[in-house]
Amino acid sequence: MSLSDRRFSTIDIVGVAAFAVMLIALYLAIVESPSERVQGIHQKIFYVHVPSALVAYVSIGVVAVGSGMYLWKRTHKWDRLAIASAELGVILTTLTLVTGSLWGRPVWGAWWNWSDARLVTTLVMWLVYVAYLMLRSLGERGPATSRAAAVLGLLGFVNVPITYFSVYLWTFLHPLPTLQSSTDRPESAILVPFLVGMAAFTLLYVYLMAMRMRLEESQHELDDLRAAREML
Amino acid sequence: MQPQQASPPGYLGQFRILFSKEIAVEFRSRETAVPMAVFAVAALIAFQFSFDLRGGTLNLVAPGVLWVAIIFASLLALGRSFAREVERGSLDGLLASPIDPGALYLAKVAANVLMLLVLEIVIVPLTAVLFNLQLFQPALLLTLVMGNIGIAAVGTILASIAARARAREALLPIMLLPLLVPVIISAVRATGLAIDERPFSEIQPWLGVLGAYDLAFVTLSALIFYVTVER
Repeated sequence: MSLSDRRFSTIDIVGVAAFAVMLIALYLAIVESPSERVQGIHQKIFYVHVPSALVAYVSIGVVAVGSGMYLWKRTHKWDRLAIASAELGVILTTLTLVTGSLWGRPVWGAWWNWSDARLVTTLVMWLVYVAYLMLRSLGERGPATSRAAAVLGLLGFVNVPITYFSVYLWTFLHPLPTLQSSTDRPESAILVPFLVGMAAFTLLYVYLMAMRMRLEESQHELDDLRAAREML
Repeated sequence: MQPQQASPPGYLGQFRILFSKEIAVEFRSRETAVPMAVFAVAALIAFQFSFDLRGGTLNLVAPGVLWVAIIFASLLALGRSFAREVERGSLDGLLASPIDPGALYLAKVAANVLMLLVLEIVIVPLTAVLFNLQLFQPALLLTLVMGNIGIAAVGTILASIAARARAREALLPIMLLPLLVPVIISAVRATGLAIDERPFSEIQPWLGVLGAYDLAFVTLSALIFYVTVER
């Protein structure tokens, strides 16, 4: 497929929808949603924080699926799926860590809390997938690097629950005060903006995945053409 | 199928041959165990003046100091185990022979576990002497062995990946350290409890985490290792 005969495709519609739903989500989160009684306005960052975190976790799962399927089937499309999802996973995890930190400062009184298993696991996960991207960028483009990355993608995925459990156990044996939260508004006032936020981040993920995989496909074609020219 | 005079060794036989090859190479070159031990001693001295291990915080800090020294020193052994094969071109020879890559992986893991044990035979008594610690506990021995298996299991497969990449010296620790977080947490906690002479039942959960980690990564890595060395 060349770029000139591209029509308005499904992907473009997803892109437009992602943009529109994101605007609605922001409006609902900033204007419509109530201020939480204890945390006040700080709680509103959760409409960005939670969807980005959940989609980040999904993207890491997609990396594992792409990696496993690539090692099994050895077709390039699974490798493309893994690399695209790893990049988005790192971006979304970064967003999760930053928004969580911004919330933690006023509410917990600290940017960071080493006793929270989710925080620490997310940070470790972030590091593993940054390493994954470094492995990709330091290796030569080709099946050897794809296989190596797939191995790291699988190891990193298996590591997530074990890391979570060990940090949890570490915290469990050193208890710290946990946050009590409460609201006096009906749950739907919170649920609706949250769900719209979820939809916005999911659409954005799907859109960016499709774009990134298309870019990778073009890159692959270009590599093949260059290799063919070398042969002449 | 061609008729064979002698039947080739099975998985276990291959493992035994490859393991003794690793030990023979190390015994002749001595390029891993000795530098590791010297590095770890130097690290201990650096930690002493970074944390001042004389005071009341000794029991809190010492387990971490010991494990960071072990893990940093392990990077030397892990890096060598494949870099040496790639430099000498011996990996291609190994792979051309009818061996199971899984057996090669397990032999390398076993050799690296042994290297770490040799390192610990030097560094653990030295830590006990220098910092006046009660380190000779059965639970600590178990923790060391299980921790070594975890480090070697993940480190060996990552080293085989890093050996072919550019900047492999940087890539190995970047990939390995975040994956070792569960080992660091549980080994340091178990060591701390052992030093404080706590009952075994308190140490058990941490050994459980280490056991689960070892089992998960040894199995997964032995199954998928072949993809890192295929042509």
